[in-house]
Amino acid sequence: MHMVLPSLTLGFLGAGWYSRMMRSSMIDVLRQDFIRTARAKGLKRWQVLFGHALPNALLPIIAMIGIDIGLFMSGIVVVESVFGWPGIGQLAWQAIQRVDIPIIMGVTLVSAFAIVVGNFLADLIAPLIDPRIKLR
Amino acid sequence: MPADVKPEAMPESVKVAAPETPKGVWRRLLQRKLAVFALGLVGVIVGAAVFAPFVAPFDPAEQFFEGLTLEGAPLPPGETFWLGTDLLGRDLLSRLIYGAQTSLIIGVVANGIAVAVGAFVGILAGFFRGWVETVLMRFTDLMMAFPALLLAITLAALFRPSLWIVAMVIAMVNWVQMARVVYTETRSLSEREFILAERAMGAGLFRILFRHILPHLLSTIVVFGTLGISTTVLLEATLSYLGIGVQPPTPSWGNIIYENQTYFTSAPWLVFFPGVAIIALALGFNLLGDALREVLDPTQKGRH
Repeated sequence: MHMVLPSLTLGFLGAGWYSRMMRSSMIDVLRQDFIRTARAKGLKRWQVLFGHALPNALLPIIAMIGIDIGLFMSGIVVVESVFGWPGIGQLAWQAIQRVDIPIIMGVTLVSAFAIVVGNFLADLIAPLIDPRIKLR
Repeated sequence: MPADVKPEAMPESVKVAAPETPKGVWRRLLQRKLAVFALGLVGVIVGAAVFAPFVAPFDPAEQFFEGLTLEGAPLPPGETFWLGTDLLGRDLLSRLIYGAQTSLIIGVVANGIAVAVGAFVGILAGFFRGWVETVLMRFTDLMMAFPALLLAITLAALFRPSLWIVAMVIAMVNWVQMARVVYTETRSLSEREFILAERAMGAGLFRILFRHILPHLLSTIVVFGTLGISTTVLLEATLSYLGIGVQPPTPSWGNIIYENQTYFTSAPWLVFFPGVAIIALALGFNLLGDALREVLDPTQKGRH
């Protein structure tokens, strides 16, 4: 139960970003010619939307998920302090205020790792969703 | 090949649409109700910021004796002080009007720089690939991994804290996400046929990057840029809270919220009105960005 409110806070916050990104990206994709082809073939509306349009509109979302994995793993100070969670964000915040160098270094290392992993995953998944991206 | 045919004559001859005039963009923008509403909203805020000394009923830093109750509590919205007073008896409306100056600079200038730098880095890295990509994107990862607050504190220690330092710090922290998203999209865009066609026609690098790839990224950039406004305004508040943001007597919407958040239950107007102001600013730019994108998008011409 104690995870519900913090998760909802972050979830609602993120949902706004994601839905706006998705919307503008879908609008772009739905105007392209291959969507008209798909409709002309007689596919159903949901087949066109989810089978043809969605994968093409997903790229910016993938990039954002990658960023968010890293950012969330490195701690959200505000949410942690409001809900009284002694998380990595609060730890970093207090360490910075006290100029506690070893803890700052440790937190930076952990968050750097999380961010690199998140972005690396996003870079790897992007070509799976959009085969036009070639890995070199 | 005859000598009188210049190589650059080719791309000119296949041009299909006449270039957009600013007047035409403006006219089509004003045809949209939502765009007019957004323009009004942004106009009011910008007007309040520019003409603050003439619009504000009181001095934002003056502490009124009659601005507090006899017990020393702030006044709720009323006749003299339209939006109430804060804990020191200062007029909230005047503080909001003056705060618009700070918040506009942070939300528009700092955020604008962040978006421009992010988009530029992302396009370059996504288009060129190879070592350019490696250098730029690893640098982006590095900046992203660096704790924003630590960077802010370091910069504040080096320079005297001022509004422009705050704006610079916010720009330095915020450009990375933009760069990542633009990079991922450009990677896909630069492999498409129309880019190949452009290259085959001998189009210059800058022409491909900014005339052909950038318009396709516009929707993402606009969404990111407009949503970033509220984030940056609040980030400024976090920095103020640490003592490295805008310095105390100067109001900003973010630091009004931050100063008063502990009194949320007893004096809700102190958090509510600046919150509404931030939402109005973000909403105005969101709607304006949406309308602008629809008007400017080359693939949507003649479809509305």
